Amino acid sequence: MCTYILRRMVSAIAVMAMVGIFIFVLLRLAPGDPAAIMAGRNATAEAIAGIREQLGLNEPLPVQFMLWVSSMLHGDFGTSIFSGRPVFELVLQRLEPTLSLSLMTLALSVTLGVSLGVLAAWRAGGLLDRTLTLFATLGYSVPVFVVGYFLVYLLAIGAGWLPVQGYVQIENGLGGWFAHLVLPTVTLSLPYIALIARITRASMLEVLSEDYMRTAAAKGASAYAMLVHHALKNAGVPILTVVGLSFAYLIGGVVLTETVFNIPGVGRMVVDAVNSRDYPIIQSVLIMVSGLYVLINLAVDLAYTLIDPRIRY
Amino acid sequence: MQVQEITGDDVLLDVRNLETHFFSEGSVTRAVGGVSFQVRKGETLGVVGESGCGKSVTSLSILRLLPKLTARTVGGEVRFRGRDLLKLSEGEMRKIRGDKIAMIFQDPMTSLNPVYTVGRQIAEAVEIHTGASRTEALAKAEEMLRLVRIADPERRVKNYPHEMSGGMRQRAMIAMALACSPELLIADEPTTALDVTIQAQILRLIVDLKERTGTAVMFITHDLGVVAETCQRVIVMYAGRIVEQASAVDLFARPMHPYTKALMRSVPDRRRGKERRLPEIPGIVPSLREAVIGCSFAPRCPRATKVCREKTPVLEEQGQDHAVACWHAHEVVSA
Repeated sequence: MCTYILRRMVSAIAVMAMVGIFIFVLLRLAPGDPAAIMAGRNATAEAIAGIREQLGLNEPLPVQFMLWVSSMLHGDFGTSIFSGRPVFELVLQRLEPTLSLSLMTLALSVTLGVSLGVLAAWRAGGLLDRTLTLFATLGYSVPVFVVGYFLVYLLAIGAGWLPVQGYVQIENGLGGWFAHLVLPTVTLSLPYIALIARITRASMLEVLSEDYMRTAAAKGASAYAMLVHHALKNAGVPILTVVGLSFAYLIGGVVLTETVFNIPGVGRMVVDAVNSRDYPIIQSVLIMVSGLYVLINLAVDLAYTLIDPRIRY
Repeated sequence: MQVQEITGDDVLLDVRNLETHFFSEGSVTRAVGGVSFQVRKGETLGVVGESGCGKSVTSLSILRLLPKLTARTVGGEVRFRGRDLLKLSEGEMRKIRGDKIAMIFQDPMTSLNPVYTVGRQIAEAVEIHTGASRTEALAKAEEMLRLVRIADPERRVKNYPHEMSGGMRQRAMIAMALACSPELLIADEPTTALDVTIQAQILRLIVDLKERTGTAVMFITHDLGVVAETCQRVIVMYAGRIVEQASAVDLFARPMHPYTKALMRSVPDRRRGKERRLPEIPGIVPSLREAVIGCSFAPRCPRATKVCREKTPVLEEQGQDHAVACWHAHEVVSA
């Protein structure tokens, strides 16, 4: 087990190195010059050249890359070209809304997705199952911004039950924090609820026809014990895989949702940074996100052993 | 003359005219077509027949364990100690399953849940029916593993099914089934999936435990040798019906149905010598999708006559506790 984790860590480093090169090259290939944007529309060529010099953008690309990597290894994720503040600090400031949104979305998607999937499998072919199939298809195919604006129109502008957009920090009141998160969470969750429900249903259906389910019934187990105790744990491995993948895709969804609902999170920060070519922010946030992604994958793989005793590393 | 009814207190299970059908896209398969038999307290009843003759479906119908979407028991009664199980609510039925009537299945490799320890799976039955705590139930599970002669039960109780051999798993299944001291144990081909050497051990274990606990056993098998070793009474099934019913001794001494005779001839016998080819029953088991006219064994029967193809024979008493459904029963005996 320990050697397995160690091996995975080593391969994680290789993955991160490739991601780093990719991000770096991609950014430098993209059109647009941060120095020109910083200097303003009417700046002279000399002024722009001065800013370039100051930011170290005149160094050869490999040197720029090595400088970036070595400072990251020392815990320094660089400073924003525009605000002049350390990127790490900026991310920390923006972390709360993003984390709140992601974790609430994950919690809602898993609980609702798994329960609906279990119910659909239990009553396979019935009315509930068919309704859920329809709902899942819709939930999976309608994009976030459409659902988002629709819900805002219906529940915030129309009914006035919930705030239209924005974010309230936890320390400024739990009620406000929660109210502002309801619409973005629901919007962002729909495709994940649909995906997890479909996978849960399929996995459960397979397990429900296993011989050991008949053994459990012959023992006198209740429907609840059969579904949750005997079947769900056996159906768990594919469900867990999908939850892990969902979390990865969630990162992309968060960026879009934060924009739609005007939430000042990490996602919005990255979008702004892309618009102004603030290289240090884009680079470092992408590296952090890919690091998180690698860690989640490892955690999911390790969690398999908790579900199925036959899996050993 | 109809089959004599055994009445009184010694009847544990009384199945009358049980009919179970399978439904699939417009077609109906009559898997069990009007089966009546009884299991007396403490006896071992053998249920014999080829694959697809309805023996397993009969047993699953008794415990109502068939898939609800595709199978339905459409007629008859299953009286257990006088109560018709087919009329009970699902909740009442759950109290019977695993407590009063327990069941063991053919394939021990797939019949245990792979993600829970064997001990916990045995304990579950105890917890459900006695209200015992987890600790008490696990202690009982360990005791049951000792009873079914699994070595080192303290350790084995914590094993997962994949850490056990097939024979050991079937012992664990037996331990699970007997944990609540059921009055009836339904054993559905419990040795078929095991090695020959293990088969004998498991068989001996079931017979031995039955003697010790006084549990009645319904032994479903296609193996006449097993029947001869373990059962007091036997029913022979063919195409969803009972074709012969007798005490084991009587059945082997005086088989009356041509199908029973054919089955017996196809059991290997050391005394016969090696060079003789084992006789087989010609033809195949009929499809149960079409309504049967006449005797369902007629197309494969060497004695079939006009009457066999036109009228379905009913089970008729032919002497002391020996009934047969054949128009030519007497000729078969004398032949």
